Amino acid sequence: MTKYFWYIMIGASLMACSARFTPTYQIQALRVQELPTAKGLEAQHYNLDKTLKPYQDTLHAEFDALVATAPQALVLSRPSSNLMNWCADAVLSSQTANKRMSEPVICLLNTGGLRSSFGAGPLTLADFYKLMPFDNRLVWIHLPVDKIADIEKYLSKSGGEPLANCSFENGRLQIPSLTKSHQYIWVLTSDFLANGGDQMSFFLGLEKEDTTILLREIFIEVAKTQGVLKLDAQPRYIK
Amino acid sequence: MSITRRTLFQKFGILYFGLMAPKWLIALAPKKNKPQLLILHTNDTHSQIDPLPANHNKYPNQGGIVARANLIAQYRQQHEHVLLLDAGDFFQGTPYFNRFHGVLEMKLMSQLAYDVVTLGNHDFDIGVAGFMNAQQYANFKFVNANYDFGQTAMAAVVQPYQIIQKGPYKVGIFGLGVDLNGLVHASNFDGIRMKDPYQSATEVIQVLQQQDCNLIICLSHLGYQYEDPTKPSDLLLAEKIPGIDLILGGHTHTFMDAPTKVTNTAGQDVWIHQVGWAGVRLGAIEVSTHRFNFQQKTIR
Repeated sequence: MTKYFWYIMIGASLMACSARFTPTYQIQALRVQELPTAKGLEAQHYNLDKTLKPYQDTLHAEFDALVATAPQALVLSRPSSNLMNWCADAVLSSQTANKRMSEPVICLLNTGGLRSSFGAGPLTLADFYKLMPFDNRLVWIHLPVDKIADIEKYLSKSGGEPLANCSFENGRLQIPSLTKSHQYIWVLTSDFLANGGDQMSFFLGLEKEDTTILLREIFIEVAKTQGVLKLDAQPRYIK
Repeated sequence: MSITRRTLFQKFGILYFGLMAPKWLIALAPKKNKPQLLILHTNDTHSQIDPLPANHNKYPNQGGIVARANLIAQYRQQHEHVLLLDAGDFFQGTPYFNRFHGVLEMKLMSQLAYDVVTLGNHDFDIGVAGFMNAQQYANFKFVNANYDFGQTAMAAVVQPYQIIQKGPYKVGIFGLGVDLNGLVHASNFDGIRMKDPYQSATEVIQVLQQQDCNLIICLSHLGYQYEDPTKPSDLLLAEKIPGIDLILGGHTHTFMDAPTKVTNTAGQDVWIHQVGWAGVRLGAIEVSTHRFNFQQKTIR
């Protein structure tokens, strides 16, 4: 016992005299706890209810309006999903009256710009804000045909983005309306991507037109017109 | 046999609480007479103030600020020394943000008594002016060490680090953010310059060590891991930069069932953790002092 006592004392003295700081803690255990289901829970702590209520009331009054119905869940999932297809199709269909549609036109959005899936059933205005919370605008880009290779390179690395009027198969962008006589295609995308966002630098310096129409407004209008969302789950990104 | 952090961790193990952790497990948590530090953390809560909807495809009815508050209150009742931290992207994702521009998020996080948070890319979505307007309602601290805020108003409210004393723990907390170029409209971070996160971390760690911090935490919005090895990430940060004990991450929305342990270039253990997104999970990390127990066993 005496021997151990002196070992302890010497050890403690060495620590006390040490000029260099020695960490004396251990990360002992880590808990990851999922929050319990919120059903039936009330704000019991921190007076949250007083703060929350006026904001919740305003929000529900303004954003609970029914927009459309989802016949099944619309899932946001790379490389290709029914929600990604629906969003790109909605953008394309909103522009059918544009005279540029006589030329090859594709839609390319970014999966990272879509922020939420839709559950099956009624869809409110709030659901569309969750899908597209950003105030991104629709932009037309005049893209030289030789730049398509840059898009293909990007898509190969990204693992899948929303596409319409085209598909990505085995590393190549398939555009049915494109012939050898075409020198340009039109790309429908967001102002964020048109300005090189998400590393889409191939759009920089090209001729473009900012429509100033919000993508979110396009989704809402197309959904209202459809009533029950028209879905296409056919993969558009095939490796 | 010597006891290292590694063997201690193996001994106590990782306690993973699945959905609806039973109350008896929470009751096992240390009581107030133990000098333990409990670190609670969130990331990428994305203005998810209400619970996720009942028809959500992955997390129906989960999350929400009320459930988070109740859980945090439970933990605070059990522990004397608690830190509540967030690794960024508390803004953007629900109409609460579109409609109220971050004010409600700041008010609620203040009421929950967050201590320190770092900034994510989406926290710049309403620009410097928008952020400054919302942060008036925050009574917690903002940290970032790798953004040079220059002459912008944010320079006055975002510091590279904070030091908080909790019982025997002198905790140094610094923040690192992702490169905003290509992620955020340039006009929204006009006047803010990105600096190398590894270099910034090295510099701030040196300051924290000089001030005798005995626990150094990085709140990181770099992202957990990327295929591109040149892109800064939490895993690379942990490996390359000695001196960090714990990285609480965000940005990649990574759900981790257990923390990752990395041995850095100095042979020290570094722990990394992240809790997904939308406030579906709350991380809880216990840190314990075993100063003399540790030394006795080492000598023996």
